[in-house]
Amino acid sequence: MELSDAELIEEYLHGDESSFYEIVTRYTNPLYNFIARLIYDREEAHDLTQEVFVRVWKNIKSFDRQRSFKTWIFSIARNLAIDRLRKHKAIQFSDILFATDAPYEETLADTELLPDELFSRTELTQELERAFKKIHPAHVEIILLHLVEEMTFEEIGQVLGEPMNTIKTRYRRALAHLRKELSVD
Amino acid sequence: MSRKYTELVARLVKIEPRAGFEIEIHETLVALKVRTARVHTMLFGGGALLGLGVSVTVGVHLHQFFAQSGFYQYLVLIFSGDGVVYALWRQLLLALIDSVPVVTAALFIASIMFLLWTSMQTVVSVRKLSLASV
Repeated sequence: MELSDAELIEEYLHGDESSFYEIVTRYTNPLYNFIARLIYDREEAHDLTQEVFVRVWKNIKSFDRQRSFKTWIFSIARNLAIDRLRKHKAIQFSDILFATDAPYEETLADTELLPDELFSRTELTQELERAFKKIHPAHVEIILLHLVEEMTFEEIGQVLGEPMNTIKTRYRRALAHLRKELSVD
Repeated sequence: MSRKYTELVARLVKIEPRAGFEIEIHETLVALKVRTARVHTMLFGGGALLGLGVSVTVGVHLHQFFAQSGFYQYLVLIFSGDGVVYALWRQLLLALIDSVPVVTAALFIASIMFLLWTSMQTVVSVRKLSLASV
């Protein structure tokens, strides 16, 4: 039976080194995917993913085990990715965060379905790649956390340090933007 | 956006790291553990040596102080017979307290404690270093 994150941490703190490597195995791909999608640099995403595990290793003793380990590790990854984006001045991250906190307009409601034929198109992956590059990282992160990592809005709120309603609003806006980018093509 | 579509997005947006990346992370962590354990070993080892030096110096000083203060004569009284201690325990205790160099003794005890603590930490660091190097 697969051990939970909390159980692995418990075992690691009791001296079982292999438990930490189980955590590494469990989270390497999700974290890499998350970071690479945010910073658009697959090579540097490797460095940042490593740095996440180094930070986890350094701080695991002070980690509050009442909290979710997954949201904790993703918040570390997210902070590192944002720092990197800020350093490279690729974006003004705060601008979009403030902008997306505005009340959600129902005109952006995602009632419109994409054409069925889109699903059969082999270049959908490439289209998604292009669309993801066009939408803002603040939207990318929320889509990734909800759709790929299957986090609840509450968990995403913990990662991003935002209230759940803000997250819900931002998620719907993010999907609308993604759909818009895909529709344009 | 339809459920089918969001599921498709979830499946298609995944990017895989390069092959063997997990092993790289593992190696990075091992190297970090070795480096940290080395630094700790050096720090605590140095601390233990310092503690030893201070303990010996203060110990010698304390011994000289006791020899000069007459403490040992009081101490001999304790072993001279139960009757003396029983009859004069209060005077004996006051004389002992009076003759003890409190500051030097406290410093000696502190240095011994420091020596023990740093030695223990050094042993732990060496153990970590040997485990991490495996």
